[in-house]
Amino acid sequence: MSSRSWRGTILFAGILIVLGLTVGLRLYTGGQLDLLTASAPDSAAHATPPAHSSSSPVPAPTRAANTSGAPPVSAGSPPTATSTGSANTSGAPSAGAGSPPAATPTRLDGDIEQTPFGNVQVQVTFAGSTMTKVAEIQSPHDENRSEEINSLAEPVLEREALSSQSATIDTVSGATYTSEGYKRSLQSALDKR
Amino acid sequence: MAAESIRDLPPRGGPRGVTLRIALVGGGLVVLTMWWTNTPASFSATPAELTTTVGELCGLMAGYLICALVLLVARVPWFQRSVGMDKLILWHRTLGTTVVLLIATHVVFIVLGGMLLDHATPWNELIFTLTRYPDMLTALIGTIAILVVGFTSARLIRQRISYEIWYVIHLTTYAAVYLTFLHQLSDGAHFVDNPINRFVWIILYLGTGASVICWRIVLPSAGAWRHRLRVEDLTTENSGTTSVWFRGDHLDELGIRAGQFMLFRFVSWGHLLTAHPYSISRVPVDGRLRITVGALGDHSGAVRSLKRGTLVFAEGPFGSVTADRATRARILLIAGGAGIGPLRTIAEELVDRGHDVTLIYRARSLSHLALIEELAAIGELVFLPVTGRRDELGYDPLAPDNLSLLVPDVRDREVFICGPSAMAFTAETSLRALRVPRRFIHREELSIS
Repeated sequence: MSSRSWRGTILFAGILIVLGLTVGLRLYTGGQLDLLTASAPDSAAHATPPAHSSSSPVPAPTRAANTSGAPPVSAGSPPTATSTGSANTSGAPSAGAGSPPAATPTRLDGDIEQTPFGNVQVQVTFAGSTMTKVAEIQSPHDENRSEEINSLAEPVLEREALSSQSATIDTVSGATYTSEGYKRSLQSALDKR
Repeated sequence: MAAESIRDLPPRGGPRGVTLRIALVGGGLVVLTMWWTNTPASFSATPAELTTTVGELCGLMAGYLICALVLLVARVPWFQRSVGMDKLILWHRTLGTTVVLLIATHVVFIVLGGMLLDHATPWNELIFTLTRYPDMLTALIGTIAILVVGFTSARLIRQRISYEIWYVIHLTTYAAVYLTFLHQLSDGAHFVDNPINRFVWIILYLGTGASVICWRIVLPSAGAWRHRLRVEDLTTENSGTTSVWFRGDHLDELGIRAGQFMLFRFVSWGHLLTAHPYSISRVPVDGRLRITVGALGDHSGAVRSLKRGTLVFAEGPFGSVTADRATRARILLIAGGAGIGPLRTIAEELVDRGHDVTLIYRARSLSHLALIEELAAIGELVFLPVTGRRDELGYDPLAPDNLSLLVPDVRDREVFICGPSAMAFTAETSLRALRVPRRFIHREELSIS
């Protein structure tokens, strides 16, 4: 009897160790995996490299063409505008080398999105076609806790939005609903352009 | 009979259920992948986020394993064939502990993560989590039910409550799984925004539910209707043992083998709510079937008061310890209490096949021996009744030295054990001490809970 008495507990400990290792591995390999996914052109929008926004070359050119008044260029023809994109990667507002009129920043408000914890609304700042800033005009604040959660989640969400240049961003752990509202509001702002 | 010719089932302790083990681990890997692909690469190592994420991962794993837990005992024919009922129950017990601990860890880590986030006290944080997220109250009820089920199944507690109460509490698991399922979809960070994960999860739970409905409700009911089993007669074997005879239609279709057991549910007051496992002590002949029941629990005792003509739902047969397992010419059978029922049928079949069979029958006293005439009627059987409690005898007849005195050639025999788990454990330990290889020891416990 005694030999099998602790089997369930031992299995539990084993699973906990595996879970811990998985989380650790995720933390450790986060950056490397992003390089892998970013190299595949189609998934570039989903990749979220921290801070350095080198993943913008694909989305940037088409938007530059849009703001300069030219007819919309389909996303399938990026090679011509790669230089424009690379010029934009610094993220500075006035760096739109290929399209001078876009130098003045434009601001667009997203829709107000309701979450169980309060409303979320974002304001997106564009320099030319590049998203340079996402600010929350409204955020869940019905309780101290919501504010705390939001203050932690917002920088992560903004960083992801800027690096992917889209509303395709991952949900932040512990702030599921805020993230969802944020994404919807951001998407509505992008749709208004 | 040549030993090699009967080797069609993998021996116990061998590769039983390897495929199922691999499938279980594979499912766990899928869950880890679901978490991995849906976690932002930039997910930071702040204590709060890290704690919450570990909590989520524990919850995901528990949500997956609880389905595995239900499936293991859903009487899925493929599992029954490849692993065997006794081992499935054993896995269910082991995995049950794991799942209960994982759920507890999930709750603790989610609350702890929230506490780190907003510096709340544990109590406030718990209340906040319960009130501000959707479907949390149902999840709370479900979690409490699962913890109670786990608690009543813990070894120390389980020994102190009756099978009937334990069984009814255990039945609430189905409701609990459903109640906790809701919060997984509506609160889970890995489901709210990920349609693929949602799809996988819903399929997992729908599949589990469908298996339960199919193999635990619909097919057994159809079988009960087809066989229309009724109690035909009751025979008192001795002070503690009763035999029940059944009559029904198409019993040969059940394919019952010597050594197997079935789950019986008697349609009468006080019996209907629970199904009990009883070994078949006489395989069906001419539409008649027999079980032999020892007075172990409340229910086993109440079997004596069954009326003739009572309708019976019988599920099964189950059990993979049959005469087919025998690969050696010389066999030792060790029976205890009501374990004599299945071992008598196995003895009969093995003697018919030409094996050299010795049967040790442990009982508390001479008056507790059952089926003596039938055992004596098996011509070639060497029958060794060993009676007396251990404290009266002053020694354990199943201790290694005594066992080798009783059966000098025990090392060359293949052993089948059936009886109360304490006796079965002693016997197995002694046999291992006497260097009987593990693959030649077959043991099936009478208990199912």
